[in-house]
Amino acid sequence: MPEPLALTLIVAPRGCPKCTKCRELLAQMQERFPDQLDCRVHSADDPAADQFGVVLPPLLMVGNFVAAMGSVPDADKLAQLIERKLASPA
Amino acid sequence: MTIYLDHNATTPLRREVWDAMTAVEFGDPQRANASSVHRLGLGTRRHLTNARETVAAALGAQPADIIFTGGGSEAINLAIKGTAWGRTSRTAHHFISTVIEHHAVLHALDWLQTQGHAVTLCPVDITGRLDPQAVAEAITPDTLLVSLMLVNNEVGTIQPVAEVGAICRERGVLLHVDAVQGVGKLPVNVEELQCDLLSLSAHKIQGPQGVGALVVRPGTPLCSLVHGGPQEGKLRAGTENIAGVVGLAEALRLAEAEREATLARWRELREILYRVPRELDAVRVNSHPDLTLPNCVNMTFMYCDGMALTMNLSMRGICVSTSSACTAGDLKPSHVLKAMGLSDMAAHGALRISMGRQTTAEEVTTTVETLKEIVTDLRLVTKPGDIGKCKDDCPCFVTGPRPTAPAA
Repeated sequence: MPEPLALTLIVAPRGCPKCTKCRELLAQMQERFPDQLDCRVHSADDPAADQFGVVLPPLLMVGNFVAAMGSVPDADKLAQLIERKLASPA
Repeated sequence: MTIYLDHNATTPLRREVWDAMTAVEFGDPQRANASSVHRLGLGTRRHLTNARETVAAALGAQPADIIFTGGGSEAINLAIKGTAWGRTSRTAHHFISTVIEHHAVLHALDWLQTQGHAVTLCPVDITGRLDPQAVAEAITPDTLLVSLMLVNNEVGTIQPVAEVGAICRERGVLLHVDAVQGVGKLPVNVEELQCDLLSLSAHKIQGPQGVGALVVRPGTPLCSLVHGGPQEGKLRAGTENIAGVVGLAEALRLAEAEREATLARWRELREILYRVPRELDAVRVNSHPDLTLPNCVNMTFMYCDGMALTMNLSMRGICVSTSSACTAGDLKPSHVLKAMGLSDMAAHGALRISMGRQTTAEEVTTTVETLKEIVTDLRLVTKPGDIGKCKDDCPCFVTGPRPTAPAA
């Protein structure tokens, strides 16, 4: 079984509709790629988010790749990127 | 591995500069206060005098014209607020600048407006170039000072400063040149530029941070921002930063000695960077094609977010900037790119790549290849259906007027 691909979402501590949509998107991706993703959500004020520096939430990372910042990606396009990363892990 | 391509933000300190600074700071005899009259004070004063002579010689000025400051922003503030407060005419209260200046200039002018001064900001064309005629038309009988940058920090475009200098001289208006990005990289001579004030900073030329200078033409009415002791011709009170000014002088001396060779190398390396718009769709070079300092290329990657691009590059060890460092925590689109007529979308997709003296062809090639990979992946997520169809004249790139063709 290959290592699951990490999907990391950094969200604003409160009141961010785009962050809410990105959380929903993450759930959708977990359904599309069962057992292949390791999804984590961090609040931007969480120390775990410090390593990313100055960010505009929502920040969505696929593996070590910043897929979106401050915007909600299209679900199908995100799935395409995930497929690509799963096919050729860095 | 780290590839540093953010030299317009700051440059690494040169070893030779550090050696010169430490020789003063930890040398024998010990460093004292340059204003002290004892033997150690006089020795320290000699370092200050030598540094002043070196900086003056590099800029075609006299040593007495050099006022050392705590950096470029302070020098700029001294030039702008100092002329406002030092003016000899009660009616001269009008300032002229451009829309693409550094915030040190724009915010100083904003503040002067709150104090009753009038400000006119001239527009620039799509490459970030000012038309000197715009300055000539903006000058009124009340105009006191024109402030113009020599090289834009975000796009690298070189401004027609000497032409503006001639206009200002003829009309009896003071000219301040923000040469922070130009000194040590381009030939700078205050007589040839016909300027009255010129600001520079050490850390842009591999000198220490927190040191700069203002060149003041004799007879320019100027009031100090910091009152106290008689240091720096009574224009900047406070005990001098001796190691800092020695570092500035040494950095400038070295940069001047190597300037032509460095410029030639940057031109070669820039050709590698120019592969990006040729090999990727929907990439636009925002800098002027010719009249640009060759260490800097500003490019818009349509359908990409510049911050996401910068972050991905950073995670691969490549440090570039989305915009000027001073606005890196501020996610509004760059005021420079907006003023050049780029749309919000185009401005948000811009990257500034600025090379330094020690940048190698291998580093630039790696950056180009990495950029291509990242942009391709980012566009998987963000690209609309019409990617690749956009050309430079696509309306999505710019919202402002297109540049008019030069007269035949």
